[in-house]
Amino acid sequence: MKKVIEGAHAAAYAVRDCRAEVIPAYPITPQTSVIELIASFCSSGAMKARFIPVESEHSAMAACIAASAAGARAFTATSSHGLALMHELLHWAARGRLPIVMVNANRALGVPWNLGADQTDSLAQRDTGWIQLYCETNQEIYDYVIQAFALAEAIRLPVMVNMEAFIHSHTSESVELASQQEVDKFLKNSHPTTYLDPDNVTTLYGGVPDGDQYMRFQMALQKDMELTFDILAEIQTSFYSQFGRNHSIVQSYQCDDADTVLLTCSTISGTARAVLPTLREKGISLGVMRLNMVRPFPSALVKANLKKARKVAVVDRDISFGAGGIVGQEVKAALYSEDPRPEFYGFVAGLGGKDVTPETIERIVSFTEERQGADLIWVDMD
Amino acid sequence: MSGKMNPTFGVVKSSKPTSIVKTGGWRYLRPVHLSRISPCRLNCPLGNDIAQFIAHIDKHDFQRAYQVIVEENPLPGVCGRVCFSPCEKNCNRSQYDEGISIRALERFTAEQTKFSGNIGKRIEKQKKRIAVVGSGPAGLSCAYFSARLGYSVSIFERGPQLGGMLRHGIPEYRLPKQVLEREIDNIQSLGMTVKLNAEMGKNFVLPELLREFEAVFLGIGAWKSLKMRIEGEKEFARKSGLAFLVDANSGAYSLSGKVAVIGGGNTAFDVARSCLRHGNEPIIIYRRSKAEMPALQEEIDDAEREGVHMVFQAAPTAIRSENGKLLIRCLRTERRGSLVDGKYVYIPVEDSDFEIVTDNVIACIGEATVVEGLDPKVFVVSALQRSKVAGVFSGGDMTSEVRSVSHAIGSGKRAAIGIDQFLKGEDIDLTGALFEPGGGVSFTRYLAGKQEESRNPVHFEEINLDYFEQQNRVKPTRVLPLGNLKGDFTEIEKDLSMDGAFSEAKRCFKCGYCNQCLNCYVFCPDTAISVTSNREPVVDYDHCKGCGICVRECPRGTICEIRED
Repeated sequence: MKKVIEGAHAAAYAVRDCRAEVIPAYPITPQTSVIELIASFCSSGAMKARFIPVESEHSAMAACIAASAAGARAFTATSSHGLALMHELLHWAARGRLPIVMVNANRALGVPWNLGADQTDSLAQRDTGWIQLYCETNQEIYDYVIQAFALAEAIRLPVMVNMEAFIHSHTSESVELASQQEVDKFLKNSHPTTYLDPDNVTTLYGGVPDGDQYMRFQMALQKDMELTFDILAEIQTSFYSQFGRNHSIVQSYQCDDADTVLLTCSTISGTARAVLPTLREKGISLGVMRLNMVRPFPSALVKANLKKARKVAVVDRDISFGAGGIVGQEVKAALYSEDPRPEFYGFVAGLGGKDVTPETIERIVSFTEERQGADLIWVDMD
Repeated sequence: MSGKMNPTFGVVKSSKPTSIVKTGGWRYLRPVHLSRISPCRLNCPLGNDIAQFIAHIDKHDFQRAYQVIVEENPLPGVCGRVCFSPCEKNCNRSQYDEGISIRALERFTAEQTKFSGNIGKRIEKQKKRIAVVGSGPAGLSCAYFSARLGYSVSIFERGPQLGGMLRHGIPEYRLPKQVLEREIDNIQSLGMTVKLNAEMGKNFVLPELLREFEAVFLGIGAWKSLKMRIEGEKEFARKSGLAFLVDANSGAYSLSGKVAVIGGGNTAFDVARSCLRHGNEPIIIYRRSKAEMPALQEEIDDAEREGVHMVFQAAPTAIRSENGKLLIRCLRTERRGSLVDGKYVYIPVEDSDFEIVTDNVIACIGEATVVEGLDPKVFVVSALQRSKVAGVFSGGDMTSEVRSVSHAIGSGKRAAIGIDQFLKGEDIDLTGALFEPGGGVSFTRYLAGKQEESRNPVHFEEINLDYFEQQNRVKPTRVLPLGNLKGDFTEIEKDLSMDGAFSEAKRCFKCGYCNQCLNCYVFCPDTAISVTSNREPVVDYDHCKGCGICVRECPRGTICEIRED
């Protein structure tokens, strides 16, 4: 059934349809609409779930960890400082091998206070062991949350589904919602694992192992995470056959013959695709690559899509101080072993929700046409 | 999932919990729950465990509150009415909003339990016998505590009834006889011999007692009124205040007309206000100023509202009779110099004579103890009331600098402990159980053989005010029978209402007494504090890191930080 709904609500409907059981949550703009709709589902009985209003995001993740360890399907949502506040527990949830799903609204971090779209919040958490997905449309938000539960429970790692502040959260789009039966069928064989079983008591996460033991656990996590691409591919095949929709983790648009490929994991990719015909008409050979997944980093797919490119312009809607755009660094690392490899342009644009217009894209592309590669170029900042 | 995609799922599980790491080893300050002295208790002359009994009222357990009180004081109904409440003057709460109505809460407890309940626990019977001379608060107290220690007690009272000053010196409207009777009955229920109409010096002498009993307690009070030593005293002011009150209380009242009462203490006011209730018109004549009157402020305020006239800075010099009236010649006095022993000196002003016309003169300027042939050594006692006369202990008004009911009860308790030590040939160091400056002793600690856990009283700065909202004090109402006082001896001060009592009990900080609020348990970030089935907090020192959060979040300073050395 098609509904015109804002991105935040698309997430909430997905959580409802996936029959999440425990939702510990703390509000923060602009994700609050997610948990508010979920709360009303819980209150009306549309969801048979326990909604726990906690005192902070750190507590929200703590409660997710506990609920998930006890075998409940746990979900929460946050943004920006809320995500930052959970930081230590993000490590815990992943290393604890818990299939928690979280929706994060990419919003700028203070100082100063800003509510606009900015992806530094989630990208700064890329080391925590969470699988990270990035959405371009409200439909992707709905679909990815459903797939996220399947993926998390299959691989026993938590999954973060990211949307952009206001661009998705408070903007309405047409979304095809599945029926409850269809989602039940899709998740039929999917369920969290019960680690804490009163009939079979062990200590979870207890003990103080030595370095060798410790390292083995972390190595196991990395190795399992490397299986994400294959496991998710299977899930997406199954999703496609049931729902007729697919959203690849790397989407390339006219990259096959492009000289220059513009790469982002934000909605800037949509603007770029809109300008692309104009630029092509001017004779600029441009392609647009969109990453829907940043962790694990899909190096193979990225490299494959850059085979023909002479230039790669990564547009980061984020910044890692002291280095540059984060996705840019990831791309550079992936390309290191390539020979030849494209010239690299690292653009930082749209922080704090600053508008990235078609003209901005044209300026970015002009730069790549006229100048040599550069590690860090601030866009529209003169 | 196809076979090649099987994750290893390395999940961290172990057979041992992380509590095997004894993080308590990092600690350098150890939190210890101590039973500490509250400042009110520090001032109580008889060592009442005030914080604890109020904590029980707070929990609506009046029976337990009563038991806590009678462990230390067998006369809560009496003290709850007539004590001058030195406890209240030290109350920590008065630094926050207003002090607690402690005396009213003591009375409330006695009223709620109808003055009954397990009256103090007894230990095994001892073979020795103790004589108690005088049945005022000191004697009754000594008898009570000695009986609880298992001794056979014989009380010798010179009058036809027990009670001493409690019966004769305090009027009905301040202490109803019914209340006194109930509490005397409670004391007697422990089992003791009573000999009435037996006066020392007349019916028996001290050496006789010492032959028959192993120890003797003298609580004979101070009944001999001091003389004004002025002309006309012998003829016209023969009856003193105390003698007057004894008569009035036993129904032998015979005054008519105006009554001049010389003095400013409680006796003067008791006399004046009793006269009012018998239809006479009293006037109080006092040597110093109103602010310096030693009587309880409530007495002075009530007397004013009842219409008692008062003349200040007047010193009688002579009394004469003229035309059926008595004329008191007085000199004005004025203050000289600075404070001496907390009092200003007032001296008569020459040529300032004036006269007061009246029908009766009653002097209430103080009392002394006078008994024929009594060895003066019995008036000087040690900390446990022991005199230099072998086997003789003394207490109450005859030995105390401060003459009050609670001081008397306290002295009786100390004497009972002193006698116990004497008869057992022991010499206990009681510094742990004694509280300064009130001098009250904890009988509970004496029985347990334990010293005080901490001699450091709880200071206001140690109270965590975050847990207390400011609130007005509830005082017991006072209802004066204004208009027609004649024959009206109804009790003036009323009991607190249930709401009022709960409000006061809640306001009480309960300094230094663990009332099991469990804040420490709630706030310990290491879950190193657990709770027993009796709701008592227990610290797990294997894991307590000594962060001190429990110390600060204890609202009442019960948890102390002690260095680990």
